[in-house]
Amino acid sequence: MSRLATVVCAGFSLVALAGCLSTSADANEPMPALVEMNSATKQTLERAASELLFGRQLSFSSSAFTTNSKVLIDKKQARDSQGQLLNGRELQAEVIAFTLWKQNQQCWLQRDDTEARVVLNGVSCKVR
Amino acid sequence: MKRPQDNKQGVKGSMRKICLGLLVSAVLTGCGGGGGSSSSSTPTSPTQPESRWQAGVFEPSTDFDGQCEVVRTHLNIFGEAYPDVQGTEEDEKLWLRSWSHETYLWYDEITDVNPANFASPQSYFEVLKTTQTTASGALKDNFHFYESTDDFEAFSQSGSQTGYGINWSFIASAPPRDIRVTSVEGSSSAGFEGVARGDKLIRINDEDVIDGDNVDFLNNALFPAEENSQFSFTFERVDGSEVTFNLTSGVFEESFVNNVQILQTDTGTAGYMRFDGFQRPAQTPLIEGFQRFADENVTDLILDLRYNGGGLLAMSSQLAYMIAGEQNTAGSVFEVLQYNDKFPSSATPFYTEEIDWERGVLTDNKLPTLDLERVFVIATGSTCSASESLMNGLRGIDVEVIQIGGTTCGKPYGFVPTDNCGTTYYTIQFQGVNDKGFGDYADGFKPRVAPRFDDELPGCEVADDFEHSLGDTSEGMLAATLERLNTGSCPVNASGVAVRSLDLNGLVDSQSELSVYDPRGIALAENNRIYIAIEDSNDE
Repeated sequence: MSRLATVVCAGFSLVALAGCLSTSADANEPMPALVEMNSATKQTLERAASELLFGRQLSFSSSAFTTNSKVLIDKKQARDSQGQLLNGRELQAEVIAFTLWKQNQQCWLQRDDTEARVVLNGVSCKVR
Repeated sequence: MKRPQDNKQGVKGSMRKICLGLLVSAVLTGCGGGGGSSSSSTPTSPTQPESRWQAGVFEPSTDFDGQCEVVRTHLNIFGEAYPDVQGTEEDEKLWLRSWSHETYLWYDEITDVNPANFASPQSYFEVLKTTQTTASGALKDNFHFYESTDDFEAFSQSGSQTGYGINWSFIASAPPRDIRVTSVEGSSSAGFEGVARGDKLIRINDEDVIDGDNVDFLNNALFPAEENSQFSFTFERVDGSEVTFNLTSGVFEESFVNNVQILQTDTGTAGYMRFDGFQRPAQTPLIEGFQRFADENVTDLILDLRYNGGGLLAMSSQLAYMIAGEQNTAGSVFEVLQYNDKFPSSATPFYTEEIDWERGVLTDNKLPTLDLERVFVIATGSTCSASESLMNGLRGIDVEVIQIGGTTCGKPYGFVPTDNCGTTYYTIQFQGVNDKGFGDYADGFKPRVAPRFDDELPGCEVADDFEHSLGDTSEGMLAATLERLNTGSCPVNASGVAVRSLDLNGLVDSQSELSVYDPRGIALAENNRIYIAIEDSNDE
């Protein structure tokens, strides 16, 4: 079954972002990357990711999605002032993947575990 | 109450689930966690005229699950509502009390005091722990902490942090302060500008770091929570010169595996690797490093864990397997997690394959191995938790661990973080023991020329050396390791300065001997920082 056949729509009111996608995977182009990462692109990506995380804030590095269509995020771990972990013996890693998709000349950000997507307005992707 | 299952079962096939901890986590959470069902909860009146606390009588924590004074209305990261129903502050306290009684490792050492005497669930939580001490006189449990569940659920891009890219060492955090750079991340503002290991911080903008009393400013400048914070940092370099950098905070990618190299020794070749964190993105470079060591047929390994505070226990197990190999690990377990007497123990095996962390399964990719009978570990007080598991796990299968540096942090314990009503609590729930059943190193592993006790390891006491780069064979700790490896003896005079990584009590450490960083004095961290890291001279 296509990963995109059952798209989960976040159902949020999207301000700068267009909304959820629920169309066939066929029109998707494989493995896009950002044409350019600048502060506006970074902000758009972070807003989209926050939308897909139900309002949680997330910061991407300046190299995110520039050479790869996928970025993984991990749980932040509580640390002391030196960066020392306050737990340090983790029994599991919680990972969420975000993937860039390109469809009909639009660049989309997908949260892979829910397959929810939002369009990245003003952001250009290229097929690698 | 459900009981944990033995995690060794059901591990078959090429896509074996990394089930360690997940079952235990689920079960312990089910015993009273935030993910628990609220179906059995009965909403209570917001005000209770009489205390329901009865000394020595403990209702199941599920009776109080998710009964909150303030009900959360926002959704979790999966778009689900939290299981909160209207309750009272007393409900939250009674949940903490019962949950601690069910899951805390030393639950029978908790003094059962009336929760009504405490201003909040969090202040009550602070006393729901043992007050006993270790053999050295230190408190047995100083790892008790909590954070907001919103912080607990925060994510960040894998392997990245927000900051300048400087790892600090607080040799003295109270005036006269001595704050040094231990390492710099190459892809960060500090890396691009040229900040170097050993640089001593003397000024931020015009504020005196060494004797200044503008503590809030210093903390804000040192630990920026957001991107694009800009400050001017002035350092004294190891040659005595002064240098100023304008640094901007940003999201930078961390490098966990560093300075991988092959060193010639009197007995053959040694692989050297500095490993700074058992974090998920470290797996690939870790395997690549060990593949290189295997290809080069190294006969010894020097593993530099001086700044490794731990992380994923499964990765520690993988690393132990790569060091010891198939034959040394066959039929043994890496670490047994011993819970209190209400739960059975669970075993962490030696993981022999690469892990697909995104899917939570073992892959078919077999790990490279060195099949060594001994390993040299460089350690300090910052060497903690999963790093200590590695040392202990290897000792459990008779791999000799030779320790160079200082005493490790002493944390053989772990938690299953559990949410209730918007706060995630960490109470010690298990102790890790090795295949021989040993796990009593709460005062840390200590390097000794002639070890006498089980928590003393053969090796040399050496201070950190900020005057040389990490991975440089002239650097004090690495040089001492090579001397120990080549001659069997410790250097007479170790170089470097005495290090006390962080002193939260404002007691400036003497420079005469290697000190021990004891992180058990840590206060609550919020947003990944501690507000008293820089201490005011008035606090002394």
